[in-house]
Amino acid sequence: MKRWGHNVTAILPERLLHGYVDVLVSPSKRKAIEHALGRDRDMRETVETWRSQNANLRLLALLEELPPMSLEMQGTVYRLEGRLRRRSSLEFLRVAAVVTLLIVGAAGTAILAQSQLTETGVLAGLADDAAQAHRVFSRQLTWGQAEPVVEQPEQVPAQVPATAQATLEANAPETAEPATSPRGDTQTNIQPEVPEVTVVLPDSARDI
Amino acid sequence: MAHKKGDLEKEIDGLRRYARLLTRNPVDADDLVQDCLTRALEKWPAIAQVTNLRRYLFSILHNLFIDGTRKTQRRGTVVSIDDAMTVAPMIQAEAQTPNLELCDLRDGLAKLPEPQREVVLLIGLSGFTYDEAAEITKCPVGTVMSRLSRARKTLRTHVAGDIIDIRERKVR
Repeated sequence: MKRWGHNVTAILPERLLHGYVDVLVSPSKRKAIEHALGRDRDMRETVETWRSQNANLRLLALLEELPPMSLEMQGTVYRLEGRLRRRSSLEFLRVAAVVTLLIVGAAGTAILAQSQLTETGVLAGLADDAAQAHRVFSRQLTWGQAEPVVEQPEQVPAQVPATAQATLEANAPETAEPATSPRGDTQTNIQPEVPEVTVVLPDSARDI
Repeated sequence: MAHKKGDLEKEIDGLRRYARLLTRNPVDADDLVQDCLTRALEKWPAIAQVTNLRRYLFSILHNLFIDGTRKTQRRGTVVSIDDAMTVAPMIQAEAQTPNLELCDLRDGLAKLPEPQREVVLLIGLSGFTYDEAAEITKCPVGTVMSRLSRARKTLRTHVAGDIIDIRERKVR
């Protein structure tokens, strides 16, 4: 801690004043320092002196005109700048590679997610089929609750050509039509009616 | 960090101005800057990783200046007759007061010990923060601030017309 002048009303660390002059303190500290400076003339003079020192240093540097760079220095600067630019382009390539990787990764993730969804859909279909099959077979296999199996009638073509119908009739084995007895019972052993056949033999055959 | 064309030249102007006030000799200053750039080129793989090129260049310059100062201290300073006979061109008839003040400041700078001069120039001229100046000079921030404080007091006294305390020059 340091005091400035005889009538010091505020006491500030010197490093804060240096920071204030070099614009390196926070805005809140800056306000506090300005408030303290407003009450202390000596401190204000000190700050002004340091500020003018900084300004004069810059002015001193600027007043002295710089001669053009020597050829050797120009060559060195040119080489250094070239390398720096190469570094910039390398950084650009690095960024581009990272962006490309991100895009590829995002696309891969999307494709993978889609395939998983499809797979889930297939599995769901298979599960539905399995459930359906289970329902059907469980009905047939359950004892006591079995439903009568409905036999599907044999499908006969609606229109059979005439020749085909004749062939069918000719080749069809003789089947006895079920006869119904007067009581309503079905009799299966009923002989079909056989037409009478009259055989007329020739005269020569009689001699034999 | 993307580097634009022309950025390096601006930095080199700043380096040259800083080196001129530091060495008080334009030829030595340009030699120092040239050595600094050559060193930067030699250390290329390291410099490629540097984020703050300006601070890095000033750091190299500081190291070279310290090395050169040590060599000079061993050998002694060589001054050409032309330089010794040159009258300071800053003093002119017009606007004499500010120029006199500048001359006093330049003389005061020349009489400051090198570590103090370096800190004043790094902060007051080149606009580095205390932390950056500490990194460049490779010393603690507290040391930087104490050097700055002593240098500002000395310069104030010198510009006001008082005699610089010679004991300050021996303080590092």
